[in-house]
Amino acid sequence: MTLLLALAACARPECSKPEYDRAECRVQAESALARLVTSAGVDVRFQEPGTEDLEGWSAKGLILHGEDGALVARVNTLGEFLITLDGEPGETVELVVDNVHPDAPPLEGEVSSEGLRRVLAVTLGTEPSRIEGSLPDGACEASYRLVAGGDIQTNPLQFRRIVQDLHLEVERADEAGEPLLGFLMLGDISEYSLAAEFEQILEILQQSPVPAVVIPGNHDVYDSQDAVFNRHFGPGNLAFDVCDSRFVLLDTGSGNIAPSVHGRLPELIGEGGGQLLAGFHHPLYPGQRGAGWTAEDQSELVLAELAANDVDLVLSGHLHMRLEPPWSPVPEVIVGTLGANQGVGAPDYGVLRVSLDGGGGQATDWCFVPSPAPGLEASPRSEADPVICPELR
Amino acid sequence: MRVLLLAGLAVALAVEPGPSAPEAEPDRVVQDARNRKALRRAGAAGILVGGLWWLAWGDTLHVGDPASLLAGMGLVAAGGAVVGGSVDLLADGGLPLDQRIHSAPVSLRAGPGGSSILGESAPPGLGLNLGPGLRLGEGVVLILGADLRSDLGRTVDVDPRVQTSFDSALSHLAWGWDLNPELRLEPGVVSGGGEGNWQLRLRPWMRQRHHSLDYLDGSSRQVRRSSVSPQLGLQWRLSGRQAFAAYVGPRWDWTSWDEGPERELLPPRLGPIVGEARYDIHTESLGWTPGGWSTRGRLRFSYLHDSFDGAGMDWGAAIGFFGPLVLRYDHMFVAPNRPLGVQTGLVWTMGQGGGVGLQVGLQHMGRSR
Repeated sequence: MTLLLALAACARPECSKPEYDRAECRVQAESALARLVTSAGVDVRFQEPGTEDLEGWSAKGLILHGEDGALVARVNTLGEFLITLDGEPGETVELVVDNVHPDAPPLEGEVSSEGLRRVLAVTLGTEPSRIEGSLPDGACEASYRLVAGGDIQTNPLQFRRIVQDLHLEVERADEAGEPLLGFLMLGDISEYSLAAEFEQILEILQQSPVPAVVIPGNHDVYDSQDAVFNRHFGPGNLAFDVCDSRFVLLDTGSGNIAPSVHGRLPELIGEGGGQLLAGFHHPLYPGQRGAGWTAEDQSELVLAELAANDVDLVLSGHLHMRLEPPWSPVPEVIVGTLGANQGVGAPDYGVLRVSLDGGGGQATDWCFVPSPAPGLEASPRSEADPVICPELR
Repeated sequence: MRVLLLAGLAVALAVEPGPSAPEAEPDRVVQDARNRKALRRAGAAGILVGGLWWLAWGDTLHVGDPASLLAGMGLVAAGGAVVGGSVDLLADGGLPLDQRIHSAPVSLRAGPGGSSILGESAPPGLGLNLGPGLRLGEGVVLILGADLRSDLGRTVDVDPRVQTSFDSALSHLAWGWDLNPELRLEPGVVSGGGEGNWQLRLRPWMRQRHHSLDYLDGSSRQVRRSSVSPQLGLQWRLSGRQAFAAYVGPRWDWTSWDEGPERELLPPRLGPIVGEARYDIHTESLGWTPGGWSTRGRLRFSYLHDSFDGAGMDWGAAIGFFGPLVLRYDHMFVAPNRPLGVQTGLVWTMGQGGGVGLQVGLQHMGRSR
């Protein structure tokens, strides 16, 4: 009994010691990094879109001082977002909002824009200033598209080619009347969790024609002392709406999701109504490929929760290939094809195109958009599932 | 470089470490050493083939389970044989059949609870294990394996977001059962030979786990996970006190949950391959035998290629590929002229989701299984 009392006395708050190789501590890091108070006392926060309760904040992005000292808010969701600024009334704050769709309407106080970046000059009032972002006008009138993929690791140059090819994908989407709204990146964007690797990927993403939402993989989170992924990309546990669809993308970099995120799963999944898409780095059901979650018991519980909410599509990476696991009990696509090593044989690089019905219907369709490595004319796996998009065969 | 390191490890494990105990019976000593040498080489080959499979396919892992399985089993085979060789240098390699110990016919197992995180709780676990053996004939034994387990309370995890008050985010209670009967056949004994060196084993491993989850928003979910995994196993008695066993088989999973009064069921599916490798070293008396009691023990080093209960070995970025390594020591205490003994066991499941457990059971002074 004495020993038990002694142990209880040794208890400390969760993550009071840095252990960022644990999923739970990254939850705390992403929460902390979604708010910043400047030296002048300006309080900048990401909030739940549409909320009137501004007491707290929400991990929807990353707020930091950029290299030139500018205040930067990197949005890590698609669709609507809300940033609040609070400080001395009458003070003007310069804020760069990054990772916003180029066709989205101008933001409050916007003075210029280039690519995915908006530069704002916000004059503070007596109430917190609200910067509300949204999708491009008309994006939800008909169908729209997203692209998805994971696993860059040691091959950022191939990833650069894939990002450049996204400009062609935007043209194809526009021709089809289905705007391309974003890029879902499913982890393993680095090999060694190094800041320099993440900076290189951020630099490449500046060339992207659409915003990229990024979650971590096992290669991105094994520095226990530094939440290096979150410091560069923001939250790895995300839930957001695009038109009528709900997206739930979670951090499985440590082979599990944080228990607290598991506890918030119904809240993250939301009320439903439209399509539900989930994304992880580790496949929810890897079949016999030896690449599942370490916490396989937890992955089954998450699978049950998603299935109970009629999930329309589960996306993941980790396996450096494209695959629709044949025994999967839910619609599932593995697409770890952003450049990482694929072993012997010619590699099969590219992204998954996902088409969704913006009008509240249930149509979800997907196909593969190859970005062949230099020296290859086409994908070496022409017959694999998911199939190559018809106009690209 | 990775290939060279892998080849170096395999060669190191395959090398003969030296002669065995010189005072033991020469023929048996030589045969025991040969057995271990063969197992070491087989284990090294498993590591090499599994590792090369990985390196060749990268993280593409075309049917990656067998690669991890081979490497894990190879590690137990080669590592066990190296440790076993050292043990035989210190002790006589032989041990009479009736002095080897086996899993207790009935035992209770407890795992400690406790959490070092403020506001969280991790309850202790309790299990009842049944494993009586029935001799169906010469060289044919049936072990009636069954296991019941439950958390003795709810696991509580807090919400660590800095803008919250660290309230409970998830409360979880788990319980379940295993049915694990095992048929053991010794072909040498069946055909009229003496003690068999090889034993064929068949086990249909059925498991079910129940999970009761209370979420942050006040909602709850009841989930039931089931699996069946028919496995084929082989035990090789390498010497009087040492044995290696390996099992492998497919696994089918199905998961269901409560939806109001209804129960929804996902389609059954083929899961990951299940495999297990064990290396057993039996020991004699500790030298401390109060009141004429006799004692004997067994050290078991095993790799379980299965993460059904959420345990697995992760290293750096190698996450989710391997099941747990398990180190187990059982010790039996027998009073003079009594048919029953007390058997205690200490189990350490290494890796993520692992832990330690203590087992206490009753063992009869029976014959070898």
